[in-house]
Amino acid sequence: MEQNLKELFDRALEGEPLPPPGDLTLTAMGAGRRIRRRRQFLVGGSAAAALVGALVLVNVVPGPESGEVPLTVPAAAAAMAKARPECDWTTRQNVTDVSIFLTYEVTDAQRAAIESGLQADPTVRNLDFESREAAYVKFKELWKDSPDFVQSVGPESLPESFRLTMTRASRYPDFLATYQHQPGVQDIVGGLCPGTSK
Amino acid sequence: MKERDAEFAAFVGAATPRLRRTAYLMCRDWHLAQDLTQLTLAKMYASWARIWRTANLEAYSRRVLMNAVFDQKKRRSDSEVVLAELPDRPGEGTPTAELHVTLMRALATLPVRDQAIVVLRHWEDQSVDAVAEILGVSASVVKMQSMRSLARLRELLGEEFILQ
Repeated sequence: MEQNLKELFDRALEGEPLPPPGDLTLTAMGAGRRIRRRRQFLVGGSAAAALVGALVLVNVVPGPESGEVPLTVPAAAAAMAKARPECDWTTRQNVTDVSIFLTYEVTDAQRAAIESGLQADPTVRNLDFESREAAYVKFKELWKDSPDFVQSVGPESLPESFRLTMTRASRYPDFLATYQHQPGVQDIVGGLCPGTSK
Repeated sequence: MKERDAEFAAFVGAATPRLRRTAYLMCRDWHLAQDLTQLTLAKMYASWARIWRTANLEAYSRRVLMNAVFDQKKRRSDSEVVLAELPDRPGEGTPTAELHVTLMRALATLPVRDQAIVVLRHWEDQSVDAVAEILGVSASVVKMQSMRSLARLRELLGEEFILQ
């Protein structure tokens, strides 16, 4: 049957039209840069925007009909900033509370590798995992006064994340360097929260 | 930077035809298949600096594509109900030339992840382990669902299909 199946699939593909005109590579690069810019909108350059821009996001987050990648991390980061307004989310040096957002395409193996790395890391304490579902429930609760924003984000749009606190806030730059390029990690966001014990 | 973009252009050239065909087998619409392929390439370029030297690009691109397909189906789940109607069982007089049409209809009745398993395994010829990695499930899930899906297709396609 298997051989047969492949032949039938090949036959189903026979009506393949010519690819549309235009340079696919350049188109993909242009669209890819836009996706990257959106992903970095809040977390890449200035986390300060997470505070200032939380409401501005309503106009930036693409709706589900746009056909583009859901804008995940900025929405999640904005939710964090709103949930913990007492924290300073602008610092990149001294950080007590950290969220590691995972990519959309993260595999079980990558997630497990990140987790075991964090579990073995002496600078990490209070390690916790937040699923997409849990993130969305929190997100909806936080933004219940802005139904348009909630609607624009969608249940599958929020990333999974590891949440943790640092044993020493000053170790954050090293921590960031260790994890930010690990496969499966999309972005790392940290804040200095006065309530978190040193 | 230049080398990185050149590598991306080479990847696009090498991977696009197959991605587009796989997308078509998943959605049965060439226009949509083209859009899903373009979205996949764009997403890959967005992460290119991170993945181009490290990731298994073949598996990675399939994963991005399948996630795009799953998302798209979720969004269009209403219209999918129409497609998911059981195909007519091919009667005695069904011309063999139509069998691939029947196959595509039968495929559409499977859960979307099972469709992905069938297409990756039996059209792309990916190994069980490769499919497991692409879809983020275990190898045993791939094996079991693949077997079930083939049995189901056989059932829908009728005797003629097995005997060929």
